Amino acid sequence: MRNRAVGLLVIGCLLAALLPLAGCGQFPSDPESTFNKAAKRGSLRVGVIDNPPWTTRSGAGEPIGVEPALVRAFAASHGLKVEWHWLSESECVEALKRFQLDVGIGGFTRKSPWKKEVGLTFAYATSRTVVAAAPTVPFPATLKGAVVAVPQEQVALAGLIEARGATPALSSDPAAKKSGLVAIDAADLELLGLRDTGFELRSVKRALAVPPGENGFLMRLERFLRQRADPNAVPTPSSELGGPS
Amino acid sequence: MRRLANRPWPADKRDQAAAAERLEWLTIAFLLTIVAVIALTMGSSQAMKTAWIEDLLGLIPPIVFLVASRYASRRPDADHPYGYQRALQLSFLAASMALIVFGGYMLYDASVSLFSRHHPTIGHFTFLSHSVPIWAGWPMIAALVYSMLPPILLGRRKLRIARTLHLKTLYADATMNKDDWMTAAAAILGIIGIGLGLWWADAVAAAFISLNVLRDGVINTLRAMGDLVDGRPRDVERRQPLELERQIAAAVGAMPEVAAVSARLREDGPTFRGELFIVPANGNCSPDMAARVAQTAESIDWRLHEIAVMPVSSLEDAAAGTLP
Repeated sequence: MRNRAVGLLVIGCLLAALLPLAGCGQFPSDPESTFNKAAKRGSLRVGVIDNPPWTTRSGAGEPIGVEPALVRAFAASHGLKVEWHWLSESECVEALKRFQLDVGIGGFTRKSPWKKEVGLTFAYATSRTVVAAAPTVPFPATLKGAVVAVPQEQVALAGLIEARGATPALSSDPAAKKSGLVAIDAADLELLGLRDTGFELRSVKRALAVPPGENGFLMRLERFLRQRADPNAVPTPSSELGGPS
Repeated sequence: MRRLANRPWPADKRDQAAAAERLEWLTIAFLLTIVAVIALTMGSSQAMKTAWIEDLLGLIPPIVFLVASRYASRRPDADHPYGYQRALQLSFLAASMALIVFGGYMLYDASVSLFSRHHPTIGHFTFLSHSVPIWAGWPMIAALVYSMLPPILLGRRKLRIARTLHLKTLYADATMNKDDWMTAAAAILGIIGIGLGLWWADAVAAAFISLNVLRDGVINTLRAMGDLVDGRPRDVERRQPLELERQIAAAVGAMPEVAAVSARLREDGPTFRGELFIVPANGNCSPDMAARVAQTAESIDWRLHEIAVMPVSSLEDAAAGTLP
Protein backbone atom coordinates (compact mmCIF):
# COMPACT_ATOMS: atom_id res chain seq x y z
CA MET A 1 0.00 0.00 0.00
CA ARG A 2 2.71 2.39 1.03
CA ASN A 3 4.82 1.53 -2.00
CA ARG A 4 1.92 2.34 -4.25
CA ALA A 5 1.46 5.67 -2.52
CA VAL A 6 5.14 6.43 -3.02
CA GLY A 7 4.94 5.46 -6.67
CA LEU A 8 1.87 7.59 -7.25
CA LEU A 9 3.38 10.62 -5.61
CA VAL A 10 6.56 10.30 -7.66
CA ILE A 11 4.56 10.06 -10.87
CA GLY A 12 2.41 12.95 -9.74
CA CYS A 13 5.46 15.11 -9.15
CA LEU A 14 6.90 14.26 -12.54
CA LEU A 15 3.62 15.06 -14.25
CA ALA A 16 3.35 18.32 -12.38
CA ALA A 17 6.86 19.09 -13.52
CA LEU A 18 5.94 18.40 -17.14
CA LEU A 19 2.68 20.32 -17.06
CA PRO A 20 4.28 23.74 -17.43
CA LEU A 21 6.03 22.52 -20.57
CA ALA A 22 2.63 21.76 -22.04
CA GLY A 23 2.42 25.47 -22.52
CA CYS A 24 0.25 26.60 -19.64
CA GLY A 25 1.55 30.13 -19.90
CA GLN A 26 5.09 31.39 -19.47
CA PHE A 27 7.27 29.16 -17.29
CA PRO A 28 8.79 30.36 -15.09
CA SER A 29 6.38 33.22 -14.64
CA ASP A 30 6.43 36.56 -12.83
CA PRO A 31 4.53 36.65 -9.53
CA GLU A 32 4.10 40.40 -9.99
CA SER A 33 3.68 40.27 -13.79
CA THR A 34 6.62 42.57 -14.43
CA PHE A 35 6.99 41.72 -18.11
CA ASN A 36 3.30 41.72 -18.95
CA LYS A 37 2.78 45.03 -17.22
CA ALA A 38 5.74 46.53 -19.07
CA ALA A 39 4.35 45.26 -22.37
CA LYS A 40 0.96 46.75 -21.58
CA ARG A 41 2.53 50.03 -20.52
CA GLY A 42 4.73 50.04 -23.62
CA SER A 43 7.81 51.05 -21.66
CA LEU A 44 10.49 49.66 -19.35
CA ARG A 45 11.06 51.54 -16.08
CA VAL A 46 14.81 51.60 -15.48
CA GLY A 47 16.59 52.88 -12.39
CA VAL A 48 19.97 54.39 -13.26
CA ILE A 49 22.80 54.89 -10.81
CA ASP A 50 25.49 57.34 -11.83
CA ASN A 51 28.57 55.14 -11.83
CA PRO A 52 31.17 55.87 -14.46
CA PRO A 53 32.28 54.20 -16.62
CA TRP A 54 29.33 51.84 -16.45
CA THR A 55 26.67 54.51 -16.40
CA THR A 56 27.09 58.21 -16.70
CA ARG A 57 25.25 61.26 -18.01
CA SER A 58 25.80 62.55 -21.49
CA GLY A 59 25.91 66.28 -22.18
CA ALA A 60 22.17 66.23 -22.75
CA GLY A 61 21.54 64.46 -19.45
CA GLU A 62 20.76 61.09 -21.08
CA PRO A 63 22.30 57.93 -19.60
CA ILE A 64 25.21 56.58 -21.59
CA GLY A 65 27.60 53.69 -21.00
CA VAL A 66 27.70 49.92 -21.29
CA GLU A 67 24.63 49.21 -19.22
CA PRO A 68 22.29 51.86 -20.68
CA ALA A 69 23.28 50.56 -24.12
CA LEU A 70 22.34 47.01 -23.13
CA VAL A 71 19.03 48.15 -21.68
CA ARG A 72 18.13 50.21 -24.77
CA ALA A 73 18.84 47.23 -27.00
CA PHE A 74 16.83 44.89 -24.78
CA ALA A 75 13.86 47.27 -24.72
CA ALA A 76 14.04 47.74 -28.49
CA SER A 77 14.07 43.98 -29.06
CA HIS A 78 10.72 43.78 -27.24
CA GLY A 79 9.31 46.92 -28.78
CA LEU A 80 9.40 48.89 -25.54
CA LYS A 81 10.39 52.49 -24.81
CA VAL A 82 12.57 53.28 -21.80
CA GLU A 83 11.75 55.48 -18.81
CA TRP A 84 14.97 56.48 -17.05
CA HIS A 85 14.98 57.27 -13.31
CA TRP A 86 18.22 58.65 -11.87
CA LEU A 87 18.55 57.29 -8.32
CA SER A 88 21.10 56.36 -5.70
CA GLU A 89 21.86 52.66 -5.28
CA SER A 90 19.77 52.35 -2.08
CA GLU A 91 16.80 54.10 -3.65
CA CYS A 92 17.08 51.94 -6.74
CA VAL A 93 17.12 48.77 -4.66
CA GLU A 94 14.17 49.96 -2.60
CA ALA A 95 12.17 50.73 -5.73
CA LEU A 96 13.00 47.32 -7.25
CA LYS A 97 11.94 45.60 -4.03
CA ARG A 98 8.60 47.37 -4.19
CA PHE A 99 8.20 46.50 -7.87
CA GLN A 100 8.20 50.14 -8.87
CA LEU A 101 11.05 49.58 -11.31
CA ASP A 102 11.73 46.84 -13.85
CA VAL A 103 15.53 47.02 -14.15
CA GLY A 104 18.32 48.58 -12.11
CA ILE A 105 21.65 49.49 -13.72
CA GLY A 106 24.84 51.27 -12.74
CA GLY A 107 27.49 48.95 -11.46
CA PHE A 108 25.68 46.11 -9.68
CA THR A 109 27.96 43.15 -9.13
CA ARG A 110 27.28 39.47 -8.41
CA LYS A 111 28.70 39.96 -4.92
CA SER A 112 26.57 43.04 -4.29
CA PRO A 113 25.45 43.48 -0.67
CA TRP A 114 21.95 43.79 -2.12
CA LYS A 115 21.93 40.33 -3.62
CA LYS A 116 19.41 38.97 -1.13
CA GLU A 117 17.03 41.92 -1.62
CA VAL A 118 16.76 42.07 -5.41
CA GLY A 119 17.23 39.71 -8.32
CA LEU A 120 20.55 39.80 -10.17
CA THR A 121 21.28 38.49 -13.64
CA PHE A 122 24.25 36.22 -14.17
CA ALA A 123 27.57 38.00 -14.77
CA TYR A 124 27.29 39.56 -18.23
CA ALA A 125 30.93 40.66 -18.04
CA THR A 126 33.93 40.49 -15.75
CA SER A 127 35.97 43.61 -15.23
CA ARG A 128 39.51 43.30 -13.94
CA THR A 129 41.53 46.08 -12.41
CA VAL A 130 45.24 45.57 -13.01
CA VAL A 131 48.49 47.44 -12.43
CA ALA A 132 49.66 48.68 -15.81
CA ALA A 133 53.08 50.03 -16.78
CA ALA A 134 53.91 52.86 -19.17
CA PRO A 135 55.69 51.64 -22.34
CA THR A 136 59.21 52.40 -21.17
CA VAL A 137 58.84 51.38 -17.52
CA PRO A 138 60.18 47.92 -16.56
CA PHE A 139 57.78 45.48 -14.87
CA PRO A 140 58.35 45.41 -11.09
CA ALA A 141 59.16 42.02 -9.55
CA THR A 142 56.88 42.77 -6.60
CA LEU A 143 54.39 45.47 -5.69
CA LYS A 144 55.90 45.99 -2.25
CA GLY A 145 57.26 49.52 -1.99
CA ALA A 146 56.17 50.50 -5.50
CA VAL A 147 54.13 53.64 -6.14
CA VAL A 148 50.97 53.06 -8.16
CA ALA A 149 48.96 55.93 -9.58
CA VAL A 150 45.22 55.87 -9.05
CA PRO A 151 42.76 57.81 -11.22
CA GLN A 152 41.11 60.59 -9.23
CA GLU A 153 37.63 59.09 -9.14
CA GLN A 154 38.76 55.56 -8.19
CA VAL A 155 39.62 56.30 -4.56
CA ALA A 156 38.58 52.83 -3.38
CA LEU A 157 41.49 51.31 -5.29
CA ALA A 158 43.90 53.01 -2.90
CA GLY A 159 42.95 50.52 -0.20
CA LEU A 160 43.56 47.55 -2.49
CA ILE A 161 46.94 48.93 -3.46
CA GLU A 162 47.96 49.46 0.15
CA ALA A 163 46.89 45.93 0.96
CA ARG A 164 49.44 44.68 -1.57
CA GLY A 165 52.21 46.67 0.13
CA ALA A 166 52.42 49.41 -2.50
CA THR A 167 51.79 53.13 -2.08
CA PRO A 168 48.82 54.64 -3.92
CA ALA A 169 49.21 58.10 -5.42
CA LEU A 170 46.19 60.03 -6.63
CA SER A 171 46.67 61.59 -10.04
CA SER A 172 47.01 65.10 -8.59
CA ASP A 173 50.14 63.95 -6.75
CA PRO A 174 53.41 64.57 -8.71
CA ALA A 175 54.75 61.20 -7.51
CA ALA A 176 52.03 59.54 -9.58
CA LYS A 177 53.57 60.63 -12.90
CA LYS A 178 57.05 59.60 -11.84
CA SER A 179 56.19 56.01 -10.91
CA GLY A 180 55.06 54.89 -14.34
CA LEU A 181 52.64 52.40 -12.78
CA VAL A 182 48.90 52.97 -12.79
CA ALA A 183 45.86 50.98 -11.65
CA ILE A 184 43.37 50.75 -14.52
CA ASP A 185 40.64 48.54 -15.92
CA ALA A 186 42.19 45.80 -18.07
CA ALA A 187 39.88 46.75 -20.93
CA ASP A 188 41.58 50.14 -21.25
CA LEU A 189 45.13 48.77 -21.69
CA GLU A 190 45.14 48.91 -25.47
CA LEU A 191 43.38 52.24 -25.65
CA LEU A 192 45.89 53.90 -23.36
CA GLY A 193 48.89 52.08 -24.79
CA LEU A 194 49.89 50.54 -21.47
CA ARG A 195 51.06 47.03 -20.63
CA ASP A 196 49.68 44.59 -18.03
CA THR A 197 52.30 43.92 -15.35
CA GLY A 198 50.44 40.77 -14.32
CA PHE A 199 49.39 42.13 -10.93
CA GLU A 200 45.61 41.97 -10.66
CA LEU A 201 44.05 44.13 -7.96
CA ARG A 202 40.49 42.86 -8.26
CA SER A 203 38.11 41.00 -10.52
CA VAL A 204 34.45 41.99 -10.45
CA LYS A 205 31.50 40.22 -12.07
CA ARG A 206 29.02 42.73 -13.49
CA ALA A 207 25.28 42.18 -13.40
CA LEU A 208 21.98 43.99 -13.85
CA ALA A 209 19.35 44.13 -11.11
CA VAL A 210 15.72 43.13 -11.48
CA PRO A 211 12.82 42.99 -9.00
CA PRO A 212 13.08 39.97 -6.65
CA GLY A 213 11.35 36.78 -7.79
CA GLU A 214 10.35 38.01 -11.26
CA ASN A 215 11.85 34.93 -12.81
CA GLY A 216 10.15 35.05 -16.21
CA PHE A 217 11.36 38.58 -16.83
CA LEU A 218 14.81 37.65 -15.51
CA MET A 219 15.02 34.73 -17.95
CA ARG A 220 14.16 37.04 -20.87
CA LEU A 221 16.77 39.57 -19.84
CA GLU A 222 19.40 36.89 -19.33
CA ARG A 223 18.61 35.31 -22.68
CA PHE A 224 19.15 38.71 -24.28
CA LEU A 225 22.44 39.14 -22.44
CA ARG A 226 23.62 35.70 -23.57
CA GLN A 227 23.01 36.56 -27.19
CA ARG A 228 24.38 40.02 -26.91
CA ALA A 229 27.57 39.50 -24.93
CA ASP A 230 29.84 36.58 -24.16
CA PRO A 231 29.79 36.50 -20.35
CA ASN A 232 33.53 35.87 -20.16
CA ALA A 233 34.56 38.76 -22.39
CA VAL A 234 35.52 42.12 -21.00
CA PRO A 235 33.68 45.07 -22.57
CA THR A 236 35.40 48.35 -23.36
CA PRO A 237 33.60 50.90 -21.23
CA SER A 238 35.55 53.86 -22.55
CA SER A 239 34.59 53.16 -26.13
CA GLU A 240 30.92 53.25 -25.19
CA LEU A 241 31.22 56.66 -23.61
CA GLY A 242 31.38 58.40 -27.00
CA GLY A 243 27.69 59.29 -27.00
CA PRO A 244 24.19 57.90 -26.72
CA SER A 245 23.72 54.78 -28.84
CA MET B 1 28.18 -4.46 15.30
CA ARG B 2 30.86 -7.01 15.57
CA ARG B 3 29.52 -8.62 18.71
CA LEU B 4 26.27 -8.69 20.55
CA ALA B 5 27.02 -7.80 24.18
CA ASN B 6 29.58 -10.29 25.48
CA ARG B 7 29.26 -12.92 22.84
CA PRO B 8 29.22 -13.19 19.09
CA TRP B 9 25.96 -12.98 17.18
CA PRO B 10 23.98 -16.21 16.83
CA ALA B 11 24.97 -17.96 13.59
CA ASP B 12 21.77 -17.12 11.75
CA LYS B 13 22.09 -13.42 12.59
CA ARG B 14 25.75 -12.92 11.77
CA ASP B 15 25.23 -12.26 8.04
CA GLN B 16 22.58 -9.71 8.74
CA ALA B 17 24.79 -7.89 11.23
CA ALA B 18 27.53 -7.68 8.59
CA ALA B 19 24.98 -6.57 6.00
CA ALA B 20 23.78 -3.82 8.32
CA GLU B 21 27.27 -2.45 8.56
CA ARG B 22 27.74 -2.56 4.78
CA LEU B 23 24.44 -0.79 4.21
CA GLU B 24 25.39 1.99 6.58
CA TRP B 25 28.64 2.55 4.69
CA LEU B 26 26.69 2.64 1.43
CA THR B 27 24.27 5.11 2.99
CA ILE B 28 27.12 7.44 3.87
CA ALA B 29 28.61 7.17 0.39
CA PHE B 30 25.32 7.87 -1.38
CA LEU B 31 24.40 10.68 0.98
CA LEU B 32 27.72 12.37 0.21
CA THR B 33 26.95 12.25 -3.52
CA ILE B 34 23.47 13.61 -2.87
CA VAL B 35 24.86 16.42 -0.75
CA ALA B 36 27.31 17.32 -3.52
CA VAL B 37 24.68 17.27 -6.27
CA ILE B 38 22.27 19.42 -4.29
CA ALA B 39 25.04 21.87 -3.36
CA LEU B 40 25.84 22.34 -7.07
CA THR B 41 22.25 23.05 -8.05
CA MET B 42 20.59 24.67 -5.04
CA GLY B 43 20.94 28.33 -5.95
CA SER B 44 18.69 30.55 -3.88
CA SER B 45 15.88 28.12 -3.16
CA GLN B 46 14.99 27.88 0.54
CA ALA B 47 13.46 24.44 0.09
CA MET B 48 16.63 23.16 -1.57
CA LYS B 49 18.74 24.60 1.24
CA THR B 50 16.54 22.89 3.81
CA ALA B 51 16.68 19.59 1.91
CA TRP B 52 20.44 19.93 1.74
CA ILE B 53 20.75 20.44 5.49
CA GLU B 54 18.41 17.53 6.08
CA ASP B 55 20.63 15.29 3.95
CA LEU B 56 23.70 16.49 5.83
CA LEU B 57 21.95 15.64 9.09
CA GLY B 58 21.09 12.27 7.57
CA LEU B 59 24.80 11.46 7.69
CA ILE B 60 24.72 11.52 11.49
CA PRO B 61 22.73 8.31 12.23
CA PRO B 62 24.84 6.00 10.04
CA ILE B 63 28.08 7.52 11.33
CA VAL B 64 26.83 7.20 14.90
CA PHE B 65 25.82 3.61 14.22
CA LEU B 66 29.20 2.63 12.79
CA VAL B 67 31.29 4.38 15.42
CA ALA B 68 29.17 3.61 18.46
CA SER B 69 28.61 -0.02 17.51
CA ARG B 70 32.37 -0.61 17.45
CA TYR B 71 32.53 0.92 20.91
CA ALA B 72 29.47 -0.97 22.09
CA SER B 73 31.03 -4.29 21.06
CA ARG B 74 33.85 -3.95 23.57
CA ARG B 75 33.97 -6.56 26.28
CA PRO B 76 33.06 -5.48 29.80
CA ASP B 77 36.02 -4.41 31.94
CA ALA B 78 36.68 -3.18 35.47
CA ASP B 79 35.42 0.33 34.68
CA HIS B 80 32.32 -0.83 32.85
CA PRO B 81 31.32 -4.17 34.32
CA TYR B 82 28.05 -4.18 32.40
CA GLY B 83 29.78 -3.58 29.11
CA TYR B 84 29.43 -0.69 26.66
CA GLN B 85 26.10 -1.54 25.09
CA ARG B 86 24.53 1.74 26.05
CA ALA B 87 27.01 3.66 23.89
CA LEU B 88 24.79 3.16 20.88
CA GLN B 89 21.66 4.38 22.58
CA LEU B 90 23.39 7.39 24.06
CA SER B 91 24.87 8.51 20.75
CA PHE B 92 21.53 8.07 19.13
CA LEU B 93 19.94 10.25 21.76
CA ALA B 94 22.49 12.95 20.99
CA ALA B 95 21.88 12.63 17.25
CA SER B 96 18.10 12.88 17.68
CA MET B 97 18.41 15.98 19.81
CA ALA B 98 20.58 17.54 17.09
CA LEU B 99 17.70 16.91 14.68
CA ILE B 100 15.35 18.78 17.00
CA VAL B 101 17.67 21.77 17.18
CA PHE B 102 18.24 21.94 13.43
CA GLY B 103 14.62 21.23 12.56
CA GLY B 104 13.54 24.02 14.87
CA TYR B 105 16.05 26.46 13.39
CA MET B 106 15.08 25.64 9.82
CA LEU B 107 11.41 26.07 10.67
CA TYR B 108 12.22 29.49 12.09
CA ASP B 109 14.19 30.38 8.94
CA ALA B 110 11.37 29.28 6.63
CA SER B 111 8.79 31.19 8.68
CA VAL B 112 10.85 34.37 8.51
CA SER B 113 11.02 34.03 4.72
CA LEU B 114 7.30 33.53 4.55
CA PHE B 115 6.38 36.40 6.84
CA SER B 116 8.81 38.81 5.22
CA ARG B 117 7.24 37.89 1.85
CA HIS B 118 10.58 37.02 0.34
CA HIS B 119 10.33 36.29 -3.41
CA PRO B 120 13.04 33.80 -4.42
CA THR B 121 14.87 34.77 -7.61
CA ILE B 122 15.72 31.80 -9.82
CA GLY B 123 17.14 32.56 -13.28
CA HIS B 124 19.41 30.61 -15.60
CA PHE B 125 21.47 27.74 -14.25
CA THR B 126 25.12 28.69 -13.75
CA PHE B 127 27.67 25.91 -13.52
CA LEU B 128 31.24 26.84 -12.63
CA SER B 129 30.72 30.49 -13.66
CA HIS B 130 29.22 29.51 -17.01
CA SER B 131 25.62 30.29 -17.72
CA VAL B 132 23.66 27.36 -19.14
CA PRO B 133 20.56 28.04 -21.26
CA ILE B 134 18.04 26.31 -19.00
CA TRP B 135 16.07 27.51 -16.03
CA ALA B 136 17.93 26.68 -12.79
CA GLY B 137 14.77 25.05 -11.45
CA TRP B 138 15.19 22.07 -13.78
CA PRO B 139 18.61 20.92 -12.49
CA MET B 140 17.23 21.47 -8.98
CA ILE B 141 14.35 19.10 -9.69
CA ALA B 142 16.71 16.58 -11.29
CA ALA B 143 18.98 16.68 -8.22
CA LEU B 144 15.97 16.17 -5.95
CA VAL B 145 14.71 13.21 -7.96
CA TYR B 146 18.16 11.64 -7.63
CA SER B 147 18.16 12.36 -3.90
CA MET B 148 14.93 10.37 -3.52
CA LEU B 149 16.19 7.06 -4.82
CA PRO B 150 19.14 5.78 -2.74
CA PRO B 151 17.57 6.53 0.67
CA ILE B 152 14.34 4.72 -0.20
CA LEU B 153 16.11 1.62 -1.48
CA LEU B 154 18.69 1.50 1.30
CA GLY B 155 16.10 2.34 3.93
CA ARG B 156 13.89 -0.56 2.94
CA ARG B 157 16.72 -3.07 3.26
CA LYS B 158 17.94 -1.64 6.55
CA LEU B 159 14.42 -1.77 7.95
CA ARG B 160 14.18 -5.51 7.35
CA ILE B 161 17.48 -6.13 9.11
CA ALA B 162 16.57 -3.83 11.98
CA ARG B 163 13.39 -5.80 12.60
CA THR B 164 15.22 -9.11 12.62
CA LEU B 165 18.11 -7.99 14.81
CA HIS B 166 16.04 -5.83 17.14
CA LEU B 167 18.32 -2.84 16.50
CA LYS B 168 16.31 0.22 17.43
CA THR B 169 18.90 2.67 16.22
CA LEU B 170 19.11 1.03 12.80
CA TYR B 171 15.32 0.98 12.68
CA ALA B 172 15.12 4.69 13.40
CA ASP B 173 17.73 5.46 10.75
CA ALA B 174 15.91 3.27 8.20
CA THR B 175 12.55 4.95 8.78
CA MET B 176 14.15 8.36 8.36
CA ASN B 177 15.64 7.24 5.04
CA LYS B 178 12.34 5.89 3.82
CA ASP B 179 10.65 9.19 4.64
CA ASP B 180 13.23 11.12 2.63
CA TRP B 181 11.00 10.91 -0.41
CA MET B 182 8.61 13.31 1.28
CA THR B 183 11.37 15.88 1.60
CA ALA B 184 12.31 15.63 -2.06
CA ALA B 185 8.67 15.67 -3.17
CA ALA B 186 7.96 18.78 -1.09
CA ALA B 187 11.00 20.59 -2.46
CA ILE B 188 10.06 19.66 -6.04
CA LEU B 189 6.55 21.00 -5.54
CA GLY B 190 8.06 24.14 -4.02
CA ILE B 191 10.22 24.79 -7.08
CA ILE B 192 7.39 24.10 -9.51
CA GLY B 193 5.27 26.48 -7.46
CA ILE B 194 7.91 29.19 -7.90
CA GLY B 195 7.87 28.54 -11.64
CA LEU B 196 4.11 28.97 -11.64
CA GLY B 197 4.44 32.35 -9.95
CA LEU B 198 3.61 31.23 -6.39
CA TRP B 199 6.43 33.00 -4.55
CA TRP B 200 5.48 31.40 -1.22
CA ALA B 201 5.70 27.80 -2.48
CA ASP B 202 9.41 27.51 -1.78
CA ALA B 203 9.15 28.75 1.83
CA VAL B 204 6.14 26.54 2.52
CA ALA B 205 8.02 23.50 1.20
CA ALA B 206 10.99 24.44 3.40
CA ALA B 207 8.68 24.72 6.42
CA PHE B 208 7.17 21.30 5.66
CA ILE B 209 10.60 19.71 5.42
CA SER B 210 11.70 21.32 8.71
CA LEU B 211 8.59 20.00 10.43
CA ASN B 212 9.49 16.54 9.17
CA VAL B 213 13.01 16.85 10.57
CA LEU B 214 11.61 18.14 13.86
CA ARG B 215 9.19 15.22 14.02
CA ASP B 216 11.97 12.71 13.35
CA GLY B 217 14.00 14.34 16.09
CA VAL B 218 11.21 14.18 18.65
CA ILE B 219 10.16 10.60 17.86
CA ASN B 220 13.72 9.31 17.97
CA THR B 221 14.59 11.23 21.12
CA LEU B 222 11.65 9.57 22.85
CA ARG B 223 12.70 6.18 21.49
CA ALA B 224 16.28 6.61 22.68
CA MET B 225 15.13 7.88 26.07
CA GLY B 226 12.75 4.98 26.50
CA ASP B 227 15.64 2.57 26.26
CA LEU B 228 17.96 4.54 28.50
CA VAL B 229 15.43 4.54 31.34
CA ASP B 230 15.43 0.73 31.53
CA GLY B 231 12.00 0.12 30.03
CA ARG B 232 10.64 -3.42 29.67
CA PRO B 233 11.38 -5.22 26.41
CA ARG B 234 9.17 -4.01 23.57
CA ASP B 235 8.82 -4.80 19.89
CA VAL B 236 11.23 -2.64 17.90
CA GLU B 237 8.53 -1.48 15.52
CA ARG B 238 5.19 -1.46 17.24
CA ARG B 239 6.44 -0.75 20.76
CA GLN B 240 4.13 -3.35 22.33
CA PRO B 241 5.55 -5.21 25.32
CA LEU B 242 6.89 -8.59 24.28
CA GLU B 243 5.47 -10.32 27.37
CA LEU B 244 8.70 -12.24 27.83
CA GLU B 245 8.35 -12.05 31.60
CA ARG B 246 5.21 -14.17 31.37
CA GLN B 247 6.81 -16.71 29.04
CA ILE B 248 9.83 -17.05 31.31
CA ALA B 249 7.67 -17.42 34.38
CA ALA B 250 5.68 -20.15 32.63
CA ALA B 251 8.79 -22.07 31.48
CA VAL B 252 10.66 -21.78 34.78
CA GLY B 253 7.56 -22.35 36.87
CA ALA B 254 7.14 -25.67 35.08
CA MET B 255 10.48 -26.87 36.45
CA PRO B 256 9.95 -29.26 39.38
CA GLU B 257 12.62 -27.60 41.54
CA VAL B 258 10.93 -24.22 41.39
CA ALA B 259 7.93 -23.48 43.59
CA ALA B 260 7.32 -19.89 42.47
CA VAL B 261 8.99 -17.40 40.17
CA SER B 262 8.77 -13.77 39.16
CA ALA B 263 10.90 -11.85 36.69
CA ARG B 264 11.91 -8.36 35.77
CA LEU B 265 13.56 -7.54 32.46
CA ARG B 266 14.94 -4.39 30.88
CA GLU B 267 16.11 -3.40 27.45
CA ASP B 268 19.86 -2.98 27.25
CA GLY B 269 20.62 -1.91 23.70
CA PRO B 270 19.71 -4.77 21.38
CA THR B 271 19.61 -7.30 24.22
CA PHE B 272 17.46 -7.85 27.28
CA ARG B 273 18.83 -8.34 30.76
CA GLY B 274 17.10 -8.98 34.03
CA GLU B 275 16.67 -10.90 37.25
CA LEU B 276 14.61 -13.94 38.17
CA PHE B 277 13.40 -14.36 41.74
CA ILE B 278 12.67 -18.01 42.50
CA VAL B 279 11.33 -19.79 45.52
CA PRO B 280 13.11 -23.17 45.43
CA ALA B 281 10.77 -26.11 46.03
CA ASN B 282 12.94 -27.69 48.74
CA GLY B 283 14.36 -24.50 50.24
CA ASN B 284 17.81 -24.94 48.61
CA CYS B 285 19.19 -23.57 45.42
CA SER B 286 22.48 -25.07 44.28
CA PRO B 287 24.69 -23.32 41.71
CA ASP B 288 23.77 -26.07 39.25
CA MET B 289 20.10 -25.39 39.72
CA ALA B 290 20.60 -21.66 39.33
CA ALA B 291 22.48 -22.30 36.11
CA ARG B 292 19.73 -24.52 34.76
CA VAL B 293 17.05 -21.97 35.65
CA ALA B 294 19.01 -19.23 33.90
CA GLN B 295 19.49 -21.48 30.86
CA THR B 296 15.77 -22.23 30.66
CA ALA B 297 14.97 -18.57 30.87
CA GLU B 298 17.50 -17.47 28.26
CA SER B 299 16.35 -20.10 25.80
CA ILE B 300 13.00 -18.33 25.51
CA ASP B 301 14.42 -15.60 23.27
CA TRP B 302 17.82 -15.09 21.60
CA ARG B 303 18.00 -11.56 22.89
CA LEU B 304 17.88 -12.58 26.59
CA HIS B 305 21.25 -12.36 28.10
CA GLU B 306 22.96 -12.71 31.49
CA ILE B 307 19.77 -13.36 33.46
CA ALA B 308 20.65 -13.37 37.15
CA VAL B 309 18.85 -15.90 39.38
CA MET B 310 18.05 -14.92 42.97
CA PRO B 311 16.68 -17.51 45.38
CA VAL B 312 14.23 -15.94 47.87
CA SER B 313 12.13 -17.37 50.74
CA SER B 314 8.91 -15.97 49.34
CA LEU B 315 7.94 -13.80 46.42
CA GLU B 316 7.24 -10.91 48.80
CA ASP B 317 11.01 -10.64 49.15
CA ALA B 318 11.42 -10.19 45.43
CA ALA B 319 12.32 -6.71 44.20
CA ALA B 320 9.54 -4.32 43.30
CA GLY B 321 8.45 -4.26 39.70
CA THR B 322 8.75 -7.98 38.99
CA LEU B 323 6.14 -9.84 36.97
CA PRO B 324 3.80 -11.62 37.18
